[in-house]
Amino acid sequence: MISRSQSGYYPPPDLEGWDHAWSRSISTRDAEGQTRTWHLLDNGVVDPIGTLLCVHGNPTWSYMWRDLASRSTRWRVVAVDALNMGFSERTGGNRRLAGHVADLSAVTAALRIEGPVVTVAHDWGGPISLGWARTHPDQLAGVVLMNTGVARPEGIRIPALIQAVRTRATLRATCVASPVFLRGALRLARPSLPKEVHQAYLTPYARSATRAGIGHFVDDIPFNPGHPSYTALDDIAGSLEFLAETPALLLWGAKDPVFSSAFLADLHARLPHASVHRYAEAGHLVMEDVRGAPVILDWLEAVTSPTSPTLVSAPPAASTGDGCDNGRRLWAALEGRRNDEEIAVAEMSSDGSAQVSRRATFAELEQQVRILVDRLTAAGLQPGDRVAPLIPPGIDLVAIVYACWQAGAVVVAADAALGGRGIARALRAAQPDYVVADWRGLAFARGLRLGATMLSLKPMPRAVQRTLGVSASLADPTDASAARDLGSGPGPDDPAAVVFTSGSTGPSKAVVYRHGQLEAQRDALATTYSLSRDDRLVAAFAPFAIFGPALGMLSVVPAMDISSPATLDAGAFANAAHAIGATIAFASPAALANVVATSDGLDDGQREAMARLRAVASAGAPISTTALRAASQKFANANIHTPYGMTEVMPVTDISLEEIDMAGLGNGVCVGRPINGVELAVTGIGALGQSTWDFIDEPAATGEICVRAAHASAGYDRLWAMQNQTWRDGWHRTGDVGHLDRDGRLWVEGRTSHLILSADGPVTPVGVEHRAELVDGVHQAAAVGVGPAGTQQLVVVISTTERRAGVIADPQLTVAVRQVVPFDVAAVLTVRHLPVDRRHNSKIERERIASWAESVLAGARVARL
Amino acid sequence: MTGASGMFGRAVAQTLLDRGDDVTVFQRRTAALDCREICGDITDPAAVTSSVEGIDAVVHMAARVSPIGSSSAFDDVNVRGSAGLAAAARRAGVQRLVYVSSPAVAFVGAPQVGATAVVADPTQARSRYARSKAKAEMLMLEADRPGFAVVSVRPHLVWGPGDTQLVERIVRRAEAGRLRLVGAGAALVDTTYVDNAADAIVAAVDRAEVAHGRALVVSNGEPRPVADLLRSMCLASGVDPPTRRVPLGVTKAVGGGAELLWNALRLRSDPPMTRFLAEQLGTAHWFDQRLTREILRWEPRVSLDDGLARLADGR
Repeated sequence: MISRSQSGYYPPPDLEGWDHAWSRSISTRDAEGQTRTWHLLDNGVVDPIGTLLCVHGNPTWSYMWRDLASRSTRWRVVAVDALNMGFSERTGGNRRLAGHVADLSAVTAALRIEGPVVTVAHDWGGPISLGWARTHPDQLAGVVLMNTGVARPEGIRIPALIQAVRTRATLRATCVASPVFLRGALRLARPSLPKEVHQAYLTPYARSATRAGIGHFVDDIPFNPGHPSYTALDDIAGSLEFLAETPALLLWGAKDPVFSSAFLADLHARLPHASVHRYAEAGHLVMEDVRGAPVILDWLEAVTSPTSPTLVSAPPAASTGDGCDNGRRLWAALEGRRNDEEIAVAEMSSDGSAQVSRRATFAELEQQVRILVDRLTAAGLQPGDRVAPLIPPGIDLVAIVYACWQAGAVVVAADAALGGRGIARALRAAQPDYVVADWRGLAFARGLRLGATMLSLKPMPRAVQRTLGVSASLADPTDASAARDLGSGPGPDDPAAVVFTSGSTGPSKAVVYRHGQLEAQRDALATTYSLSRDDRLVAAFAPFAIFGPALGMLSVVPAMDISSPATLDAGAFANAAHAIGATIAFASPAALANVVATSDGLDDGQREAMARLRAVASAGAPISTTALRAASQKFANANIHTPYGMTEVMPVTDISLEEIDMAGLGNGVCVGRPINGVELAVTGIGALGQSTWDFIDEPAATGEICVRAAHASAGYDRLWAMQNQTWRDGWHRTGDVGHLDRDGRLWVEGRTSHLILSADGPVTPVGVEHRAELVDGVHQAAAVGVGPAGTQQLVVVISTTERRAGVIADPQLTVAVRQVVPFDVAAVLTVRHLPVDRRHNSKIERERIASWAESVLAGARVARL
Repeated sequence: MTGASGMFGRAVAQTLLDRGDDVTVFQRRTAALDCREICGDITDPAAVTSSVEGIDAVVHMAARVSPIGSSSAFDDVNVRGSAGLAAAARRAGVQRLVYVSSPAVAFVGAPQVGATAVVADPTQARSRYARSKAKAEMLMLEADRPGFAVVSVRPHLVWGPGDTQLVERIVRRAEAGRLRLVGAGAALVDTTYVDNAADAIVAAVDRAEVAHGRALVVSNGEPRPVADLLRSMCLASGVDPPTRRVPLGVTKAVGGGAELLWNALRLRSDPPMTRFLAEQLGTAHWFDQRLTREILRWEPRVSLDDGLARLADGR
C-alpha cells in the first residue's frame, strides 16, 4: 500500500542538494499494529543491482543521504525517516531500538524491496540497520557503518556531550523544548556545514512539537543493563559474527567527540574483515565532511565485481610457501650471532665527541631481545597488537623492535622527524595498543589519550608510574612463568610495522609492512648496496638503522637531533664512522648537506674515517646533483648513491653520481634502473591530469609511475578509498610522473598534482625547470600552471642572483627561458628565493608557487612568495 | 558585411573576397575595397533594409567604439542599429548572422583567468560601450532560430599592422612619454592578431549551423603579462617601451575622474585614462579557447611573435 498521503508531511521543494522527486510517503502498520505514515527518500533507480537501505541517526534525517541518492545510478537508494523524525509521522509516543528495527522492517516489506540490500547507516542508525540486517540475512549483501557503535568500548566513558543532555533535568530542555542538542550535533561537522545545508537539517525540527523524537533517541541510549534497550543493543552487538561473510565498510570521521576512534576499534574488532577508511580531519557528520558517496559506490563496485581489485594481494614474497623458513626471519641474523661478542650496535656520546657512550654485542642484544619478549608478553602483549616505541634510535629501540617482531607485535614507527604534531597525528591514526617510552614519551602519549597500555622502558618509581598511567616497567624482572609461549611466531603475511609518509606530498599516511615484505626489503638493500657481515654502517637515516642487526652488521647512530637531520655536523658524523671503522653510511639529504658544509674543521683521523667509507647513500628525499657532487668530494673513496622510492615502496631504483653524469640532461631527473625484483610501468594521463590503470607500452612515454615489488608494503592502514585508488594487484601508483628511457632508466618528471594542464595536454615540470636553470642568471626555477585545468598556461618562476627590477623577468631573461623551453611560456616571473619544504630542504613547493603566480598574473598586488 | 573600413573589418572582407565569396560592404564612408559597397548609416532603417537584399549571410561589425560618450550614443548604434539589422536580415531571408562582439560584454571587474564565454552582463559590464555591446549581443542571440543562425564572436584585443585602435594608441602615448605600466604590469592578457581574428569570423560564417546561439571568445591563446605586450608592441613599432609605473588604484581613480570630466565637458578627444582602460590594463584577460576551436574548427595561423615581426615589417 504505497500512497502519497494527503496528510503527508513533505520537505519543502527548495532544499540544497535535495531532489523533490525523491520524496515519497508510505503508510503501513507499525510494530504495534497502528497505521503510520513514513517519509522516505527513494531515488527510483529502475532495474537496480540492489537497494541501499540508508538509516539516519539522531538528530538528522534522510537528507544526509542526498549525495548518495544523486550519484547512485545502478543501486536504488531508499532512506527512511524514522517515526517522530525527519518528515515522518509524529506518533506522540516513544520509540525504542527494537521498535525502530521493527518499523524499518515494516516499511521495507510495504515497499516490497526485493533483491540484494546493502544497509548504510550513521550514528544510532547503525544499531537499527544491524537489527534489520540480522532479520533479513537472505537479502543482505553488505553493511556500511559510519561513526556509530554497538557497545561502549572498555574504558570509554559516556561522552560528556551525551551525559550533559541525558539527565532527567536537561533532556527535555536541550533536546525538545530547545534546539540546543540539534544545533550542537550539527556543529560537529568538520569543516562547518554550509549555511543552506545546516538550514536543511533543521527544517523538520523547527518547532518543539516536532523534536520529541530527538529526545527519545537520546533517552534510548542504553548506558546500563537496566535500560529498556540494553538487551536489544547487546543482542545486536553480540551477534555480529553473522556478518563474518558479509562485506562491510566502516567510514569514520576521527574528530568525533561522541563516537571516537575507540568505537571504530571496537567495531573493527567485531568485523575484522571490514574495509575501513578513517578520515583524520573529518568529524561526526562524515557524509557531510568528506565525499562519502563516491567512496561507498566505489566500494560496492569493488565488492560486487567478480575480480575484486580491492583485495590487494601482496606480490608473492620470496618466502611464500615456506612460511617457517627461519633463516629468513628478520631476527635470524641476530639469533645466528647469539654467542658472538662482537659489537652489534654502538651509540655515540650526545655531545658529538669521539666517545662511544654505549655499546651492545650481538650476544647482549640477542639476550636483551629475549628478555623483552618475555616482559612484553607478561605485560599482556598479544600477537597482532600494535606497539609504538617512542625511543630515539639506538640499542634500546633496536631491542624493542626485534622483540616486538619476535612476539608477533606490529611496530608503529612514528619517526621523530615527523615533529611533535606529526607524531601525534600518526599515533592517533595507527592506534597503538602499547606505548613504550621513557617518561617524556609517556607523558606526551598520555596527553594524546590513545587508550593504549603504557610501558616504561626504564625503571620508574611507582608514584611516577601512577601519574603517567604506566602499567609496567620493562626494566623490572618478571616472573618467567607469566610469559607466554610464542609458538612458531609470526608468518610472512602477518603485519610487522606501520610506518608513515612524510606528509610533504599530502597528509601523512600510515603504511603497513608485513614480515615477508620487510624481509624482502632487507634483502633488497643488501643486494643493492652489496652489504655483508663485514660492513659497518653509520645510520644517519633512522629507518635503515633498524636493519643493521637484521643484516648481521655493526651499526652506529651518530650524535644528532633526530627530529632535525640538518643538525648532523661533520665532526659527529666522522667520529661515529671512526668509532666503528665504518664502510658505509646512509644519511638524509639535509644531514648530508650539513656534513658537507661543516667538514672543513675535521682533523686527520676524522678525514681518514670519512675516506674509509666505500659507499654513501642519500636516502629519504630527492637530492640535487650539485649536493651529491659536493658530497662526493668529501668522501674520497666512496661510491655516492641515491635510491629513489617512497614510504610505500623503498627502494625502487638506485643511481650513482657517475650514472647521473652519464645520463646527462633529459626530461626529468634520472633516478636509475629498477633494483632487483622491482617491476616498473607507467599509466596514461588524461588531459585533466587523471590517470588510469592502463599501462602504456610505448617506449619513453610519460605517465604516472607504477611499481610492483616483493619488498613493497601492503599499502595503507585504514584508508580504504586511497588504497582502492592507488593499489591494484600488488601494483602501486606512486603519484610521481615520469618515463622509462630506452636504456631502462627511470626519469621522474614531477608529481601528478604538479602537472601543468595546458590545452595541448599535460606538461611535466621538472624537465622545464632543468632547462630554465641552464639560462645564465637563473639560480633555481619552478614550472607551474595558472588558470583552470585543461587550459592552463605554463609559467616559469625563477630565483635569480641578478638585480631584479620587478616581478616580471627582464626581457633578455624571458627570451632566453622561452628559447630553451619547448612549450609556450606565458610568463617568466622572478623572486629572490623559491620556497622549499622545511623538512627536506630540497623539494620546491610548487603548489604555493602556483597560487602566488596565479594571483600575481591575475593582476593582484604582488605579495611576498 | 557592416563596418568594413577599419583594419579588422577590411581584413574580414579581404579574407572573404580572397576565397571568392560575393561580398557587399556597408558602412558610412567608403572602405575602398574591390567589391560591391553601400555607404550608409546603421541607424538608418531604409539603408539597412536595402543592404541586406539578396544576401545569404551577414557579418555585423559596425559599432560605436570609443572610450567616452553618452549611453544613448552607444545604444543608438550598438543596440538599436544591431537590432534593426537583425530584423531586416531576417525579413530579407538571410540565413546566417555573425555578430562581432567583445569579451568586455562579460567582464564585470574580476580577472578573466582562462575564462569561458559566460553570458553577457548588460548591467554589470564596466563601460557604456561594453554595456551597449552586451545588450546588443543578447538581442542578437535571442534572434537565433531555425533558418536564421546567429553566432556571436568575441575577439579579444585585435591588433596588427595599420591598427588605429590598440597599437596606434599605445605608440602615440609612448612617443609622448605618457605610457605607464599599471601595477606590476603582470596581469596576463591575451590578444588576437588581426588575420587570426578575420579567419575566426569567416569560420563562424561557415560553421553557423553548429555554432548558432552561442557566444565564442576568440584569441591567439598566447596570453602574456601586459608589460611584456606593451614592450613588444613598442619595440616592433620603433618606439621606446614604457618604464614608469602607476599603482592600479591610482590609475582607476584617475581614469574615473577623467571619464567624468571628459563626459561632462563633452570633449571629443580621448581622455588620458578611463576606469575601463585601467581595469583592462591591470587585471588578467585570457580565455579558454578549447570550445571555440572545436566548434569553429579554427586555429590561429599567426603566432604572437610572427605577428610582432609583421608589425615591425609593416612600419
